[in-house]
Amino acid sequence: MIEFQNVVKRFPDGFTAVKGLDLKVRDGEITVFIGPSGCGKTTSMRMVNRLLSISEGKILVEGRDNRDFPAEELRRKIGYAIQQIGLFPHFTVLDNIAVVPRMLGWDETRIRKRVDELLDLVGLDPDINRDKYPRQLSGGQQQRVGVARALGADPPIMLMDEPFGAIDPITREVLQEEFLQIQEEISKTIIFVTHDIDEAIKMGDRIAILKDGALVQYDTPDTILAHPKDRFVRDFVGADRALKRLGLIRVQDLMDEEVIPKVQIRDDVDKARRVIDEHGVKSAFVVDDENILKGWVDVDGIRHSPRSLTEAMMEADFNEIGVRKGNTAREALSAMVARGFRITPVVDRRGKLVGSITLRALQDLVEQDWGEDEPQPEAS
Amino acid sequence: MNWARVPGVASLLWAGLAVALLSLSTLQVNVTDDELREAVGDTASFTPDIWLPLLSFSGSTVMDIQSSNDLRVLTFGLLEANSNASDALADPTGAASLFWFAAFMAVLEGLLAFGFRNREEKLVRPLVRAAGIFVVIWSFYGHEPFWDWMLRGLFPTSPDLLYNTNTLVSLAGQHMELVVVSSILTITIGLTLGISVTRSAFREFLPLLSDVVNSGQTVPTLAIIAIMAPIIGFGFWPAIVALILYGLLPIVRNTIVGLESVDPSMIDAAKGMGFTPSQVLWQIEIPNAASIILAGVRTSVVINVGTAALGAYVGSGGLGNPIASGLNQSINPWVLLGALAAALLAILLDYVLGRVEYVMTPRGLQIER
Repeated sequence: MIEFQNVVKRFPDGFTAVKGLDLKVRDGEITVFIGPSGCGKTTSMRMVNRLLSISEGKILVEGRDNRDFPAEELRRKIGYAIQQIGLFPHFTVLDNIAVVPRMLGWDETRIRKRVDELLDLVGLDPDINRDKYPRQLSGGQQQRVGVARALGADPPIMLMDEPFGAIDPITREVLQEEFLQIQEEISKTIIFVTHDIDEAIKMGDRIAILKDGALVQYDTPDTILAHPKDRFVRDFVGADRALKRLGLIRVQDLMDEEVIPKVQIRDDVDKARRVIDEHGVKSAFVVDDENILKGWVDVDGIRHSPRSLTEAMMEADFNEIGVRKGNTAREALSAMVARGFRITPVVDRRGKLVGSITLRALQDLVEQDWGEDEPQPEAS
Repeated sequence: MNWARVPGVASLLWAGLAVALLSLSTLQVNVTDDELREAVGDTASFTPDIWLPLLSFSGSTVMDIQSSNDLRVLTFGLLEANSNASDALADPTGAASLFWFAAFMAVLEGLLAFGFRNREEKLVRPLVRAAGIFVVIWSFYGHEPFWDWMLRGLFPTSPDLLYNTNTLVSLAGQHMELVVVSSILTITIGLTLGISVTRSAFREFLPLLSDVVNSGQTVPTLAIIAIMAPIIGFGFWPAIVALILYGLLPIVRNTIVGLESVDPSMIDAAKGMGFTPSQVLWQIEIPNAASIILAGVRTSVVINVGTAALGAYVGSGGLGNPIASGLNQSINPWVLLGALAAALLAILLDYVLGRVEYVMTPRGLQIER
């Protein structure tokens, strides 16, 4: 839907910000442009809706050269959200979101319906917020309105320039999660500019890493983390890329649903000892009749009170010791490191034990990364 | 405690002032001057001032008319009795512009109270307030017995109290005319220039314009008037030219500063959403710069009221006349009369423009963070 064809941007002072960018942005995906300052990521994005002119080459939007459209008409079809948000302080929330629909001549009832719909989508109560002014909102709420405004006239394409950059880390996480959920519903074609690799990995279906105005690597986050093309990319994604990669993988892809060292709470201690031996682990999970996780029992506990399992076990809340299927492998690792487990139970929403995940499985994944990476030559 | 917010205080204040002014009125007149008696008769009930219709119902103080000057002071209805007075009062435009000013102000108050802000307010208060404002302004300038009474208190021994060639209402009217005409032109020119040089096409002229406008204010107004007089002639227009040159600076400067201070990311967002350049200007830049621009307009207009007094030296009329004549002939009451009236006019205009500023500053910008 958006295609860069050998795009060059030269500024009047002679600085070449983008040097022959060739790239296809896939429909319905979030494509992240990332790189150090001055790499041309924002410049490239701003050429799409012609806030900057193109010096050479062309950008195809929906298959047509974007210079075929009048600039204003083109921009009204492309959602635009920026870090500074740029809400109009003299407009109410409703008027802000209604800007593009009004320019497109929608009738008022349709606009009102659309605004309420969008406010709902971004998690703001329309009845409370519709008639507020931007200054009456918190930073996070303002950015929600900013996103709603960019979605105003339901444009197929969106450009987002570090939209969550100026927001505190906790709110940023929340907004990122929410935006991913929204994107699942709306499936826009999005160019997302950021300088934060964690954000890129989290948000991007694909990541384009730029350096000095040229494309270095364009791939899925997993591939970039597993196979960084050169030293620049490797440095850029960071020394903890193995951990970051774990952040991309869900527990459900690594967990073992068959082999679970578990005992019933009514079983005796001998059963527990047998299970521990069989699995070659140090502890077994204790569940009740309904397979709800109640705690764990380890060899030390068995040694101290060899008669009763209920005395030997450590009781714990399933939320504290278990991870969920939807958690990332990174979170599972963190849980294991924090509690000194080599194996961690996977539970569902109600605490039912559904599987286990071992430190070994995580290590295998990480080792495989480094192993493949080590012999690679520098130049490629 | 904010007294302005206490319900009714402002209205009561305005209404009280109006009543006080009216109560100073003189109604019944004994004519003692022989010549006048021939023209008018022994006693006459005339209009003491512009509030004739109201006053003719109220009781009466008796005042003796001894000279044509007294008569002039009191009269609207006796124009034919005295040629001096008829000359003086034959300036309907002057009085009219003051009238319109007062009326405008009253309407503005009414609009403010009804339409723009305090929707929850009851009907009576804004009406009383609007009427009160009209009465006060109109009375202050139109009600010469009041000035006569006040000046007599301040200068008990002075033979001349009120300015003898023109009524205060027409002087104030002329003054307003100077101020209004020059301000409209200044605002138009100033805004056009200020907006133009902040557009990318004309940005290179920004330093040049700043210099020109700055130097416009460094040249003494009196000098500009003196230079203009031989070129344009005497009267209204040389004074207007001087007032424009002098008043341009605050408007142009504030327009530039106001437009430059609009958050660039807001403009970027607007462009990115498909605003045309003129939509960006009118829907985004101007509303957000409005309070700064209007502050400049307010400064400029208020300065204009003072500067317009100098117009008396080229015969443009206005409240500068009694000041200039008073200084020439060492008649202090005249100087005070002109100065007080002009100062009051400046205060009133400042108030009006303050209200305009309030109305025109978008509500979203008035909310404190």
